[in-house]
Amino acid sequence: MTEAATAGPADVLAVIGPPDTAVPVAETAAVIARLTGGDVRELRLAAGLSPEHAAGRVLRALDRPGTACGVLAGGEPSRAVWSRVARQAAKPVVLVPDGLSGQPPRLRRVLLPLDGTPQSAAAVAAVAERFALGGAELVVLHVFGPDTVPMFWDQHAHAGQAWTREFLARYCAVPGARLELRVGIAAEHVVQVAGAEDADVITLAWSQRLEPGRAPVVRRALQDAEVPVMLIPVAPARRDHGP
Amino acid sequence: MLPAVAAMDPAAAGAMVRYRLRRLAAARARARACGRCGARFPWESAAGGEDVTPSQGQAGGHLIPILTGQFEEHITADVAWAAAHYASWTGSRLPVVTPLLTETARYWASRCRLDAGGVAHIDGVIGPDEYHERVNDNAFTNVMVRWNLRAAAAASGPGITPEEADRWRELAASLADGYDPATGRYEQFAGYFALEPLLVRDVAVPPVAADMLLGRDRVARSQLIKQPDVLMLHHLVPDQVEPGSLGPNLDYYGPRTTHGSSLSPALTAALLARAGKPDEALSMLRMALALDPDDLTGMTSAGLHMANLGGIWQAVVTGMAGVRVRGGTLTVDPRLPAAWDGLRLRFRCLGRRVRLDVSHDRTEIRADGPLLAALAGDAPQTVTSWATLRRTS
Repeated sequence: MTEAATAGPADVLAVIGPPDTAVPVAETAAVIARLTGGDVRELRLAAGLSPEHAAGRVLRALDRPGTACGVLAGGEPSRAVWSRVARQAAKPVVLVPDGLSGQPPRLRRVLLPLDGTPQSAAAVAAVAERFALGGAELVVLHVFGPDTVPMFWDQHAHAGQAWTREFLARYCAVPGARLELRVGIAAEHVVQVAGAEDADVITLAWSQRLEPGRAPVVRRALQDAEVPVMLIPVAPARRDHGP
Repeated sequence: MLPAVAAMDPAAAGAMVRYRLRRLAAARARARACGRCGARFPWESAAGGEDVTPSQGQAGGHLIPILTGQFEEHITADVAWAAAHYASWTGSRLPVVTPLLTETARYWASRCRLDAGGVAHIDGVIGPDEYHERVNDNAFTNVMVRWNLRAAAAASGPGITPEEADRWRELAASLADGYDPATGRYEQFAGYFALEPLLVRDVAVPPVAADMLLGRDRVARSQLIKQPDVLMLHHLVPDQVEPGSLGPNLDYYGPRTTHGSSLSPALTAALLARAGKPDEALSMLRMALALDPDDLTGMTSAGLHMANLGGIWQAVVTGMAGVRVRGGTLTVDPRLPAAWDGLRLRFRCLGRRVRLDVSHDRTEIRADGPLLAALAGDAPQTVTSWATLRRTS
């Protein structure tokens, strides 16, 4: 989806696995396809396929030209598949949580947590633009923690306004995007803000590393979020502290 | 800002003082609205002279009240100090600024509370350290008020009776200031020493906006401070603090200062230089110098931090070079960092253009006309047209 976001229509791969997840996965893919301007391509995974083989099929299908992203079940029963796909995919992967049912999926509001690094901003830029062009409201979340707290903060009204303008200009220069600032642990705030903002999807740039101690935000979002989580690969790089 | 502007462009500094003079009516109205006498100047001022400080802002997803407009009252004494500094530095006639001294003194005279023992207090203020709000007897505020009252009494302008001047002097003498002779420390405000003894090194590497890291409530319960507070007295009114108290207060408050205010590094550099620690001062000065060029605030795009730039000037001129003007005499008392071979400055004071050339073993003062000047510890001498007052050690 990254390169396809502004480059014309692109298809969305719907990975149909366990029967109880088929409908929400297909519906989520359809909603995203409306934004990408492409079609939904279904990939059905046969029951009994080993996780390695299933993941391999998904990755090969994702690699096909004209494919924006993949959508697959993200719950615990499917972990062996999605964790392999997410760690190896070169394109965004949308993981649909267990129990997503009832209301048809929608994409009115997107939560976009950003850590203030050029790398994560670059990773999500095209997706953010595509969502905005599709009419979705972008809510950018940045959490001040020990590694990201500003050095200086002269006054809450003036500093907040100036810092917010600059952060959005640098990391999410999409018209209409607004910034929510929080203080504390990012992993704890992402799900909380997604709920408070009634976000329909959480979009996260990540390093594709799930070993212990890595990707706490991704882990928490996948564990607790009640909405689909889009994981966008970002090349590992040194972070900076801006703005 | 004003000290820097007065030394670079005295006419512009004069305009800054006239800006305040022309808004005395609004300041008087504010004082009356608070049930006080005299004039109370606004924390944030614009064209009309009314307080335009925002009343709320966002902090970590919560809407919070911004109380500086209501309670950071030391601005009233700061305005008086700036006017007096302008007059002293430029050699202007004091009567021009006297209304700023007297009307602010009247405000403070009506603001102080006398307890049964005859001690004067100022309750419910915010000092330069804005992490602690609505505190009582903030040492910076009280000592600045003491200076304000004494300066107004000494000015003895029109409309001031000897009795009123005497009352100001008595009130100044009775103001609580939190000084402890045993330690040489001023308590930042009543109860500060009893707060959680948190040091900045316990939470982060400074500079850090500690309120954004730990939350406002946690910081308010601790001894962490945003910027020099007590120590601003040693910078602005060194004659009003106990002799020899800079060192003990720097040693105590320095490790508690987060420098979360963009004004903090430069003024700390000035203080460190005056305390005889020019190499530490240079480290802080470098941080101040990098603040905008390196965008350490993350918001330089919104504009340069002018108070930091003014502070840098003060760190170099007042701190490193030790330039002061007192009673029509320019005094110089340099403290150069080891990394500097020398320091050359050009500035204006007392109606003259001055050139200062300082190295580790030599100080030269030159001026474009007669100027009473003194090197530290020496008697004043008159520097004549581009002549040199030189000392080699």
